[in-house]
Amino acid sequence: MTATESQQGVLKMELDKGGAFSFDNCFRNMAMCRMGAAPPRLTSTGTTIVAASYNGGLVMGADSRATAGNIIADKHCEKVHKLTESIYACGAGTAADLDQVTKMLSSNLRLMELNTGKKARVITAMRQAKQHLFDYQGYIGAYLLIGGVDPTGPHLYECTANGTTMHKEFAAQGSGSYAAISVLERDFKVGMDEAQAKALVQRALHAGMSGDNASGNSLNLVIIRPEKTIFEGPIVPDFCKKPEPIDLEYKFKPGSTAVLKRKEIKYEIVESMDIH
Amino acid sequence: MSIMSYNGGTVLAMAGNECVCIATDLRFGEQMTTVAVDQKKVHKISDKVYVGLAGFASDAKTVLEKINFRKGLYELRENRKLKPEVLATMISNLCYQHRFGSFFTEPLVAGLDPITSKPYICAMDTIGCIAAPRDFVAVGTGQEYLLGVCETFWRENMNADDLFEATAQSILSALERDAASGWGAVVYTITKDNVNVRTIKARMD
Repeated sequence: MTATESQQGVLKMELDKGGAFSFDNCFRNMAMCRMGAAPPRLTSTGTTIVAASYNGGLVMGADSRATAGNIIADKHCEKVHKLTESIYACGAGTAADLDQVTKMLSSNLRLMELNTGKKARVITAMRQAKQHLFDYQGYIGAYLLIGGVDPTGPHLYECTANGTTMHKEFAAQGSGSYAAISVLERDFKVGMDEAQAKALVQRALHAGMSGDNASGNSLNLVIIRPEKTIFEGPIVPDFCKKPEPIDLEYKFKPGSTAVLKRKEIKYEIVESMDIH
Repeated sequence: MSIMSYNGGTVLAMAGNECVCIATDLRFGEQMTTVAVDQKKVHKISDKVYVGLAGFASDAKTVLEKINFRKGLYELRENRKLKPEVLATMISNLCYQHRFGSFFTEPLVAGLDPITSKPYICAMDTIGCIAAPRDFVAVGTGQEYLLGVCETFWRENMNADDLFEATAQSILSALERDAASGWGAVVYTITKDNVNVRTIKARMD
């Protein structure tokens, strides 16, 4: 068999079942739960995400904290996901679900743009998201704010894990949304300019980050205008800064740790091979 | 009691300047009983890429087999060396495929880029949500203790020796307070020239 033939044989082997979910462990896991074992804690974005439209464009933003229970699992987690050049999605809920759903959306939308030769619309992104989420009846814990500018103008949609979607002028989601939405409700005005909208989103995020345990660390903003998109972040607000370090550094002298056994693994040097 | 602490065990990875450290404890238990004292939770995937698997030991073993299978296929059909980022995405997709019936193991990837020697570390939850900070990651029963102590011990741009000391001291501190981990620790220091495997002296209870 030649090299290409064997490579094609490898290609034909099933790596995964076309990306579908495997339910192999469900029966075992349910049995383990009945025996009294608690299921593991999943990373949740436990988030504050905010979006507001202004005259001609859209500002979206998110904090950057991911939590697992009360542990901060990730301090600089990216919750503003790019779907296309001018469509973005902010996510709240189960972190793994959000990563995978937005990854799926962005590749589907890109394929669609290439096939049609036109820019994808926000409503397409929203519909793809809601149909996927509705299929899974809310078990995929992704709560999204999908927004962007397309040839029909700026749009913002809220999409819940059940597949409910709403068109909105401004929106907040996640555990910090109660604090954020009150700021938005008070200060949002129709026909704001970009600077006003950006300041409003930032203020709403600050409210969420100080009022909610599961939100904080830093914030990311994306400003979507008809002609271009600007990403800003991570911005660390003053109240999220770690106090200035005192003149003290925990530095260990080499050799402070007692080593019982030592082994060195050398790399094999492969010569003249067509790697990379 | 959570399945995640049934067998116990902790893995920690720290990144430095063109080097990474990955450390594991050696205890394998069944709830409060220690069954084995030589169970490494860190596995070599390729020369400069290592993976740590904490949590339920039988799932960790299954996942490791699946990782090695996929890594083998990748190298055969792409005909190039595996980057740590690629491995992490691969493991993440593998875990997410089992979203609704997950493996009870938290994977951790540490390694250097085979060409540029850029350090990469990341941790995942049981369904493959990647957290890839630039400083340190920890998984397992000692995670909470480790994250706190690493926050003070980690410094910017450490060299391989400093990084080893910081990693070793961090895991030793965690072992002081985590009953489900212990019985010694092994620290792997991955640099662009070699990998140093050091078994460090720890309390044996």
